[in-house]
Amino acid sequence: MRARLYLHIGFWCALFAVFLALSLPIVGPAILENKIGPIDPNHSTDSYLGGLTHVRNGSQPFSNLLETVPPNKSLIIFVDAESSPSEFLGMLVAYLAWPHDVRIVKVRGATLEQEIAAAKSSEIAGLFFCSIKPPASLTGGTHFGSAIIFVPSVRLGPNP
Amino acid sequence: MTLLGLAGAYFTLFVGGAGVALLILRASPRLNLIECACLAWLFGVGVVSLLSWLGGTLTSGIVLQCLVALFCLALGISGWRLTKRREVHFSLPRPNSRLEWILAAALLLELLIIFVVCLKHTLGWDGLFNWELKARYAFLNSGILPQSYYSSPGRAFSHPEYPLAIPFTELWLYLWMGEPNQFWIKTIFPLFYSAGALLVPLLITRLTGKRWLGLLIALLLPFVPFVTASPGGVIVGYADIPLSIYYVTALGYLLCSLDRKLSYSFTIYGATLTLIPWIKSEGAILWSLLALLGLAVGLYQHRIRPAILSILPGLFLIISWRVYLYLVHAVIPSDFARPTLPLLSVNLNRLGAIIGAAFAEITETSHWSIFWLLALVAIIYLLVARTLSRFLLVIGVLGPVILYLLTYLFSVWPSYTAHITSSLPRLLLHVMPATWLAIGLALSSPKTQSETPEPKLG
Repeated sequence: MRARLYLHIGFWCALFAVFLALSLPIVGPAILENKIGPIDPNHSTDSYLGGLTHVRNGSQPFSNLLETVPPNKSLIIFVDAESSPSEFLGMLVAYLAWPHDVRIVKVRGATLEQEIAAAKSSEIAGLFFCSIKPPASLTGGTHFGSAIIFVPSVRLGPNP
Repeated sequence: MTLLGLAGAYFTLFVGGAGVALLILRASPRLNLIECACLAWLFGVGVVSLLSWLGGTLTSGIVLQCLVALFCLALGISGWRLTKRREVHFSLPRPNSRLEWILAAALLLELLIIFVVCLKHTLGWDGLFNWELKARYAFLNSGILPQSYYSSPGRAFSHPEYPLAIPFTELWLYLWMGEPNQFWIKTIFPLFYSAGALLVPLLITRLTGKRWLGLLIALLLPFVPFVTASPGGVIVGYADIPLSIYYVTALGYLLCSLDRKLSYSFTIYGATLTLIPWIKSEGAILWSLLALLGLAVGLYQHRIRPAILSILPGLFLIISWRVYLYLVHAVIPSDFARPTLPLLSVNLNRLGAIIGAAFAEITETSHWSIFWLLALVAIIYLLVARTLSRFLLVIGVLGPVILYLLTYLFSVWPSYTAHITSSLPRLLLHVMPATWLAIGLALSSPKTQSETPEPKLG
């Protein structure tokens, strides 16, 4: 009976030892990385905007940019369907664009011009291009950092 | 002002939750303070989020905030007065040996580290877009999530159909702080973790009579790499760890009601069961399984009426939420097709690939170390024990995994294997604390498994 108990304890100790030996090299560094702060209301969005557009504390300036847009009109956000950072940035723009109605258009290949033509309407306040280059015909957009370009509807030309 | 508001939010939430906990535990002559605090947190989240949602259909703004706060205070006072009337004594369990003191101190230190680590990271994809987004929009609309949000196709990526326990707990903090604050809401996630890390040892102690074993298991819990070192764990503000804590609490108290025959254990099971589908959509699957286990226990103990009663509030909540989504014309992006027999027969050939992908995931040591090997050994131990409670625990661990894997038969993703790869690790987290409970029970030698051992099966 005692031998069985020792076997039981030894077996579980061995299992836990292997478990910890494999875990510690992963968990240890993960616990030590990063530091607390900044203690900021836009802590996460600022961090993502900083990483993707290189704009520091970008949430507030982005909200200021949107204040120039009529609130009852919607925004179209173009993202590259084959780029996760572009899609993520599009969602971030949609998140920050509240209370504007938004539509995210995933662009595949060279269909951007058709997508823009299809999106044009009098209800649109403007277009956002997230990590995607707008066509040359659209000039005078506002650059927000390195990855977001905003083209207000007045620059889109007449509606179809 | 922000910190004062945060303190006010936590105080009212804990008072409301403590009220519910005390009302449930009133039958017990002696109350464990740690148990009360953990349950107060879990029930407080339920009370505040449900009241904010329901109250939001009638009123908004400061009136809504005051109504919810008053209700929380009323619950707390009712619970307190009842415990005074019944002369219930509160106790703080103290470690009995040097080993228990060391383990308890290490656990406290570990919880502190988890708290700090959570504050160091940003909210992850789901944490920001699926949960915090709802809290922010509700805050900006006087405490109510506007109908235009639910029906907006442009924001379907944020899953408007997901239930509101986490976002409306975050909203509660926002209402009290007076601003949406992505930093301070991260504090709720280590609290969920701490509640789980304290309830798991408590349940193991109650089921085995060995406190040191419970403390040891609680200490090992964060060494599962996916919990502390991966996107999806406790550090990124996802709902999977909170859901897993509700699940292990409901399952653990169900086993306690079977092993220890304490009536309040079954009531706690019922109360936490109700909140499971309110945490995350997948909670409906966990709820269904636990409801069946509860019915099985009810049948076994010839107490079928309480078993049915414990299921009804959760069922009502699931139906109410679906009706509400229908009424607000919610855009529901679906990753799964409606399960039908013809579709099942067409997709049955996926089974091999699904099992293969699941095996690849559970053997991924960078996510799990050898956690699932420990789980397998524990399951064998529990099956060999041949008692009903151990058998139910095995179902509680394996059941959700099997059900989750079967859902991929109906995945509508262009690549269902990519669907598995992206979501299975987080689904496995839902049973992680329950699996630690199983490991704790397996570790306990059969001689002293329970003070009141139940008869063997068969």
